[in-house]
Amino acid sequence: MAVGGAAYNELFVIFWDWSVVVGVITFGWLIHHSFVYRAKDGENVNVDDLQVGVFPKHNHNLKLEITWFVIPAILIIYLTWISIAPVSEVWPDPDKIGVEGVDYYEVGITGQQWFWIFDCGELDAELCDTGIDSDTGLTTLIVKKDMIYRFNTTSNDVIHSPYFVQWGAKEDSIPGQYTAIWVTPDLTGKFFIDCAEFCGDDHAYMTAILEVHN
Amino acid sequence: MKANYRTIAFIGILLAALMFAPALDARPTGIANVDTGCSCHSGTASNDVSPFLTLANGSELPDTYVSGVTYNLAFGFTGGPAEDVVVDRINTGGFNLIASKGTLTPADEFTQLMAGELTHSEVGNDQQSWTVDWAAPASGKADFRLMVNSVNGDNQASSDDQWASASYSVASLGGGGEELPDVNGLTVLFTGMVLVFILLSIAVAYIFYRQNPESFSWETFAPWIADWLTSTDHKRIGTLYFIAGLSFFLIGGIMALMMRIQLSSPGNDFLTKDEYNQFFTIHGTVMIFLAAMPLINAFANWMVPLQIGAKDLAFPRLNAMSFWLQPVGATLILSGVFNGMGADVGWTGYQPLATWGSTHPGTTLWLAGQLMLVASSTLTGINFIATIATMRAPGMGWLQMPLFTWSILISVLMLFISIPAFGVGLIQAYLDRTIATGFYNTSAGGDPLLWSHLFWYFGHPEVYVVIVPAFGIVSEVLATSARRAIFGYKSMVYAMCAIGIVAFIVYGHHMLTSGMSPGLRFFMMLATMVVALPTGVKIFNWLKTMHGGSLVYRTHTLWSLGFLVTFTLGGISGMFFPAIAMDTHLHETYFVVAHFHYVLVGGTIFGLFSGIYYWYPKMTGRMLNEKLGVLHFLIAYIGYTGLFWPMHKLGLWGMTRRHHTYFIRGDEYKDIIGTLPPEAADWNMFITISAFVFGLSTLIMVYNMISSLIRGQKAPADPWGGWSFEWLTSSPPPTPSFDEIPTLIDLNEHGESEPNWLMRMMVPEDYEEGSK
Repeated sequence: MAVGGAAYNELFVIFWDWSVVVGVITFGWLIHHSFVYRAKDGENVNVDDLQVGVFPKHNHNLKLEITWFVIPAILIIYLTWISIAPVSEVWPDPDKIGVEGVDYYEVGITGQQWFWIFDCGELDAELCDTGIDSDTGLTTLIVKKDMIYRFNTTSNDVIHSPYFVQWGAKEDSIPGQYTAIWVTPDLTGKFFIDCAEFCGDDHAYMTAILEVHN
Repeated sequence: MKANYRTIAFIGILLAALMFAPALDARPTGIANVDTGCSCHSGTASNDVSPFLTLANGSELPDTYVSGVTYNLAFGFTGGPAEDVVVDRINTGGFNLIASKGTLTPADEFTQLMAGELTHSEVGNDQQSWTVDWAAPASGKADFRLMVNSVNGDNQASSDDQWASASYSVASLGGGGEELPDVNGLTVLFTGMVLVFILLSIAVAYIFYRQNPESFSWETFAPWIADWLTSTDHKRIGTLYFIAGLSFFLIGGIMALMMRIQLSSPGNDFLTKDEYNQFFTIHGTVMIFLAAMPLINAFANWMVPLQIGAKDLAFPRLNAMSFWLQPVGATLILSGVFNGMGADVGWTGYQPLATWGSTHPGTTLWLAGQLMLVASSTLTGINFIATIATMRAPGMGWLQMPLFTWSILISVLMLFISIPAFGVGLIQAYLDRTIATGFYNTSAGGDPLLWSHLFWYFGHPEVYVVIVPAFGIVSEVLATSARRAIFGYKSMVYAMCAIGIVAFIVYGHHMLTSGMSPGLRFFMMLATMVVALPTGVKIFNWLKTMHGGSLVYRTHTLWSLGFLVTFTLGGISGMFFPAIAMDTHLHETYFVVAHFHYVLVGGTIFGLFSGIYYWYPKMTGRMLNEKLGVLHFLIAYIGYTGLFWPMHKLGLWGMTRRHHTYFIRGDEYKDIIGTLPPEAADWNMFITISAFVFGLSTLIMVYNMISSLIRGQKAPADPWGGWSFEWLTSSPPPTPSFDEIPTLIDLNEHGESEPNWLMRMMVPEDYEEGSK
């Protein structure tokens, strides 16, 4: 898995599979019991002899209770374990990337009610450029495929959050602070960016385009 | 007397301060007046400046337009300081033009579109008149609002600068198709609310009339209603909570339906973005604070004293105050909506947006209203903790309390501990908005993330506060319906305690994308994953309770089984968020919306519905109609699934929440990956239709409750065969609730045990067994 890649895809498949397993067990159990243990017509058997004002005899089985604490715990530990590794791909350590000889490029994104300001800094036009998309009239950030980008985002007014839908990457742009979004665009084309943190009237129109070329 | 004068003077000063304070507006540059024409030139509107808007050929603006035709408009101003500049009127003019309908397109380089409004460009600053193309809309009256600045050209804001504004309107000729009636979302909402209120009043009057049709008169009605409004009886206050909670549930529902109409097709304009923002804010606040919490309080008020065998709550008058703070708070929260100036910052009220100058003044009232609810919740917390700790019937130890009482205890403890943080945040935000303090003003050194931390430190326990009582209700209903003792009573209690503790250390998962440190992110991920364990134990215990039982199918049983399905699904979808790599994608999308509606509607509300069908006979002494109940369950369940299940898919596609519109891949967006696929529009329409099915199904229950109250069968003391004390007293219970305090008999053998360190700490030394 690459830095800033769509890490969620692989995780999602694993989580989805386990959700189905848990769902099938729970709902199978529920449906079975709802039909098998229903009261027969006209009968009303008081199984545990419940009486008003009498705390009933405990109905418990410690081994079973421990079982369905421990088995989910194992599943949870496994799911946590597989979720840890991608964290260092979503927010990699900038120093490590430098050491391994892979370079990354820093691009500034500033949110303002209700548009995005892209700042390519000193980067070459081939690596990073800005423009206006001719079809939609939206601000466009033009980057190169398969390069690692670190978008440093901040805000001029309220909290925004640039959302690179294709790569499932977002991070709040907070006034007075910098946060980082790592994206490695691995496809060419035009990609949608919108604002994920409610920022006022034109929140829905706070969109931009990431154009990726070879 | 002297102290009184001081108090009156103090309150007088406070009132005066409050009257003047909202007129001021905190800005990074200091305090400025709100009614400015433009952000760069202040002062009041000037009579010297006269704006104009005509057709570009010089003729007057027509009274009617032909739809689809593009009109070339000319506008500008005469008079003011700009006139006095004779040569090269550099930087002397500015404007802002808003058209309510149709599309404005800049015709030359002198004008530009900014955030949907037309304004001058930098070169356009040197003009006093401009032109623009306006494409007429399909139908409806188009309103223009023009603001012009006439300035002296010294390139800085000064008091010499003047401005003026004017409005124009053009009606539709009807040339391009039929004129469609224009629905204003706020009007619909207002009508809905008035309707709810009228229905409520009629219902109250009718119930009174039915009690004694012969002697119906104001003289008898007035004391009867006064008796209700001033009651301190836990049952009556519970009923009041019920009525309030259900009415606000309907109001919040009307708002949700209007938002769904807006989202039913892309680019819809049923609501303006402004209205949409208010509606989702108020919808969130109303549903959590004014619908779910009062409904829970209704059951808590009714059932906790009955279940522990107490005659009333520990502090009945405090209880009445807790309730009456709610209508006051509700009025404040909703008051902004009526003039179109309601809070528009989202129920989370993220800073610095919630203290930003451009948000509606209603936000201030919304903050004040929530402060009232904080006070109310704190009082409720004191009351219930005291009641449950001290007023249990003889024979009832902590681990012999019914599970619903346990759930209320855990829930009020959580609320009691977490809500002060919210109160602090609210006060800070309120002061920021009114007297320009700088808690959340970044340019003054404030920290917007402080709010997020305070809010979610409260907000996460809060969502458990509303779900845990539903656990309690389902535990009671399932055990009683299966005719069994609940499986693993103690592990149920411990699981709830564990949820109550973990609630406080997981809140950071709401902020995983806010630039937290990686270590904290990891901790929050781990803690959040752990929540699944006690919740899992509860679900498996409920399932095991049914094992070997004799399940009697009643409406409340169906709702509880339905709860098990929807809550489990909500729990499973909740597991996707703590995995951070997935959360960066799912955060703030419709996947989150689907998840929290699965746990809040499918969890809390279904649990509460189950409680309504379960305890209604006890509360009113009348049985509900089972046929209508089952009908309600079936329709609501189908509508609910159609409403919230597809939202998961929309979220995975990347549909972001709190957007009043969305972009479909097509037309000019056809090449743009990441916009929604075309079928997303169909799913949105499907969701809207399902929302109406779900919304209307609730009316079946309301009808059932009212009609059963009048015509329902008389209920016995214990219609379902439960064991706890509420089934001991008559239906409805007398006041005080027990003629004689009952004693609990426990069938389990308890070995003699030495008091442990905790008991020694809690129990005074001179305490004698049985002295209570």
